[in-house]
Amino acid sequence: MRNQIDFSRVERIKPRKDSWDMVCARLDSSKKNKVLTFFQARSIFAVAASFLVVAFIAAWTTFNKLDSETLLIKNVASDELVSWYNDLGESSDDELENLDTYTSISYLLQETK
Amino acid sequence: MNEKVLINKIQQGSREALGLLWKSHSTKVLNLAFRMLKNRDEAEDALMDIFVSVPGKIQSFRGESALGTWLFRLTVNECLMKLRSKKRHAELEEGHIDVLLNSAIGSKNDEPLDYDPELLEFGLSKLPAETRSMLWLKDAEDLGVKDLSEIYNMPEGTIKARLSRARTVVRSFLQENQNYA
Repeated sequence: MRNQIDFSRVERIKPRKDSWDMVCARLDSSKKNKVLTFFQARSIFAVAASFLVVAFIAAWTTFNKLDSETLLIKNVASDELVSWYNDLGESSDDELENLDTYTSISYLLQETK
Repeated sequence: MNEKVLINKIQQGSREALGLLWKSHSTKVLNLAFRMLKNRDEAEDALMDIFVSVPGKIQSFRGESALGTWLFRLTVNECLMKLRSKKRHAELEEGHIDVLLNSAIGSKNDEPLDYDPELLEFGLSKLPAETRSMLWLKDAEDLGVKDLSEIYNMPEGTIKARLSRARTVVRSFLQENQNYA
């Protein structure tokens, strides 16, 4: 086109010889960073998951312990003792279970002697 | 290699395909960046930044324009960002062209003169970075107005007007200074 400015004689520069190698190096390092970030993210999830597992195990153990204590009371509080307690005017088993285990057992044992 | 195949391969992470793109387009990208930034080292940095970003950015490239046009758009944006971050963009704002244009009106600007390349480079540098790149792509890289419209996201009429004004400014500068060269 006649209106255009002729830039054909203006110098065209070329990329430096090591420019492509530098691009490749930067691409490789960004890939490594991505992998590292992925593993870092995964390790955070792993730590969080292990905390959850530990918390769950602790809670489960505590509940089991409570259950075993309840079972212990029932085992110790034989039918004979419960009926004796009922004779005192208290018909609910719950009340017996609400009593302090050791105090009530020792009291009942003394009474049965 | 077919351009679509090349795009697909780069999208899949092929370093070889990116290398082919480098071979075919890095010089053009570098020259455009050099004309915008007016600094060789910064232009090299921009070139590398652009090619490092290509594998990520090409994932959203739908192939609606030519790969070269898309690369020029990346280059213009990257260079404008660099200029803005350095606050050098105020070197000559678009409004100043009008001032220069007023002094150029009336000068004969149609004759094909054999300009001194260094003077021409200097005349080009009188334009704002964006207009400079626009004129370079049109007259040196021979891109069409439609491509420029895609690159700069401007209507074709605006591109034509800006090109015309830019040429007038450059020619005026050349004619004024040719006697001193």
